[in-house]
Amino acid sequence: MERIYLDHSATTRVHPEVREAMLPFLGEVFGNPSSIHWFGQEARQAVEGAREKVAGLVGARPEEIVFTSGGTESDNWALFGPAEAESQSHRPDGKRNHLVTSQIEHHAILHPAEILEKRGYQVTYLGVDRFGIVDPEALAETLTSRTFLVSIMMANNEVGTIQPVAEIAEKLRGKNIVLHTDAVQAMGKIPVDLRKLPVDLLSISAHKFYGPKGIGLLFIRKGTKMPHLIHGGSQELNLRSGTENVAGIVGLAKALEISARDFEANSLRLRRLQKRLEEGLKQKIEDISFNGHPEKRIPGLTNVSFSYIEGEAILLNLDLRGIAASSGSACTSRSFDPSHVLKAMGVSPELARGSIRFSLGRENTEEEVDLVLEALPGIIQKLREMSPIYPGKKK
Amino acid sequence: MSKKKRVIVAMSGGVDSSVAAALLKEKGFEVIGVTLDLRVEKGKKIPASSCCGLDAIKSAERVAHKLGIRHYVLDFRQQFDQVVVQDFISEYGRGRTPNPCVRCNQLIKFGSLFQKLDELDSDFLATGHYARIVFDQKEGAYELLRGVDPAKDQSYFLWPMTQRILARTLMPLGEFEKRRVRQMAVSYKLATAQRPESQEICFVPDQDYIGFVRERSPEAFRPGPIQDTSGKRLGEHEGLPAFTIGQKRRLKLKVPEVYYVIRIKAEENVLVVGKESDLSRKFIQVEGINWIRRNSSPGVFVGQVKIRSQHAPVEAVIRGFVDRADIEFMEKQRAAAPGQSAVFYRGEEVIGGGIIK
Repeated sequence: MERIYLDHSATTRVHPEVREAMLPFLGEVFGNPSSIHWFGQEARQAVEGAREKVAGLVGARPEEIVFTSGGTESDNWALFGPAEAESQSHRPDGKRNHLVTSQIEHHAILHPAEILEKRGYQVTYLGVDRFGIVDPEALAETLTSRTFLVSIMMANNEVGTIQPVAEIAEKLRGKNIVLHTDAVQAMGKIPVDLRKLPVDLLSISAHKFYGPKGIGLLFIRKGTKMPHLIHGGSQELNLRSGTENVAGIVGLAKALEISARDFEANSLRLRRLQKRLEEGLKQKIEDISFNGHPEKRIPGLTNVSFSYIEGEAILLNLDLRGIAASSGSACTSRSFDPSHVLKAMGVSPELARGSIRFSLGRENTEEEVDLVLEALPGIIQKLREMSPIYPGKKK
Repeated sequence: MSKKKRVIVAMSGGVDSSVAAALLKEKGFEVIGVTLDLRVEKGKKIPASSCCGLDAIKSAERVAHKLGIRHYVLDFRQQFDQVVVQDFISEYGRGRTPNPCVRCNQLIKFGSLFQKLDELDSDFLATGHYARIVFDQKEGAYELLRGVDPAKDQSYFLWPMTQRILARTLMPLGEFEKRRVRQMAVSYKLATAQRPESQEICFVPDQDYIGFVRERSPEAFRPGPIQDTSGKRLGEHEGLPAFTIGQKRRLKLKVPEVYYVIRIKAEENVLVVGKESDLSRKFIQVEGINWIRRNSSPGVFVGQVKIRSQHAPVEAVIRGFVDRADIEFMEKQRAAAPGQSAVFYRGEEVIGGGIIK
């Protein structure tokens, strides 16, 4: 069966050039970057070369880039690190204990936030408007003298909405509050220049932009106090111990380089394909609604609700025809949970359950989009005919 | 070339459903494995992390991978909680003894999951039950028969199955003995070959059903009197859900004789106890009947009746009506508990079943 992959927000296929770049490090260049001999030095050069390359691409200094195991580790660190730093501080007016995040963050943020709550921190979970956007004004109003951290994602993984992180940074100016942004979904899809965007911490994961899995980074702006969470051999500027994932680091840097190189062309292609998909859906299927902001959205991501039916049934039917889409977030039991993001956006539970996400990627073609548009109307109609709440049922 | 028939196999991750899937694949079906997520949430708040974990799902995934078939996890948690778990709790609250496995078969596996067949353009639903489904050409009806392994026969739990459902259900293990199924699991190299038998009530931790009901429904436990058959007060009980017909434990009576629970009067919150001889009954009434072959009753017939899962079927006269049956046992039977299933057999065949009144 020909398979069509429309789930690039879950993960992507490693770019052939990335794989090429990584191969030597799965072969002859196998040294430990911490070793003093030549084997080690080769590996060290690769890691530091990658760090410099990445820093250059995002507008950071090399010493501000710390490689991690991926987005989840980076996000965890971005919450627990500043909390730990705060608990070690000696402020004359007492320790600060308040952090602000949003209801639509990834679980890699929400679960650490819940743990901090259990440890006595106060957490504000900001709501969003119907497009899934956090209001910087509303955010500013929640800040108190006890606020030490704000974490707002750059783009949402389920609906693709881009958040006003620059405006949020503006609201925090001069307040000595750490600002973190989870850029896992945004990287490679919207421009990120850390010389202009004054965030303190930023999370990236390589496999979302055609790099390998198991590697990511946390950008830590110089001057930000970040206690380290993984202790051992003092690797990664003594911030994150553990022998470096050399092949992964090289792969991440290469993937980021390619995504910058092909940025314009890819964005344009993705926008065009997305338009074809969305126009087609609108034309061929009744009673649908799109979730997320019509413009302020990362290219290639379409989240759509089909009334009267369950997204799970749609996904299974698509999969049986070789088409891979998603319900919004991938999780290990693969069970279907109603989306916390759509809920925060005020989408009704019924409609949220009937939502699926298509996320297009660089290898998708117009033919593939057309095949999906051919398959989907029949599936939707069939499921609606079986639905007890569908009003348009044929007798 | 005709298109392969598509079958959905309900996979629990255990040996039986795994071998069922393997057998059907070998027979040339297009097999899709499905595991129902039935995990019961403890406490009120459903943790956001609830999408992760659980051995059964992982085990089923491994088997599906080994067999090279698709596998999906379907979230039935809410439904399962509503129609099986809540019912289990409220039945105990009413002084009855429910059988959640029967209800799960009826409303979840051959209910909600069965409905998915058409959604997924599938021809059949298959399970790893030890029972057989046979089409009787002469009568034009499906028969439900015991599994050939008498020790494993699970037909008792399947009495609610209707013709419509039997027509689209496959139970490939009914023809085999458990020993043989284990051997097959080994020869198919299924990782689950050595997994232990599943426990009796899957959602009750440590088989402590009283503790479970108490946690979920503490208000159902109201202390009340224990009386003998003449109405004399012998002591106090801790709450009706802790008792079932025929039980002698937990009564804590300060009398030398051994007493058994013989009746639970839920309206009055009274537990009636008696001697062993008071436990046995010659007649029972069964309601909520399903007659397997037809909608109407087969009338009066002599058959065998099984009144709980560990009970050996006994001879009885069954007087069938459309929605109920009156049973006269040849010999008095001990501890027929309201809420339990009574299933009627004639030899190998399940004629019907219902709930003891």
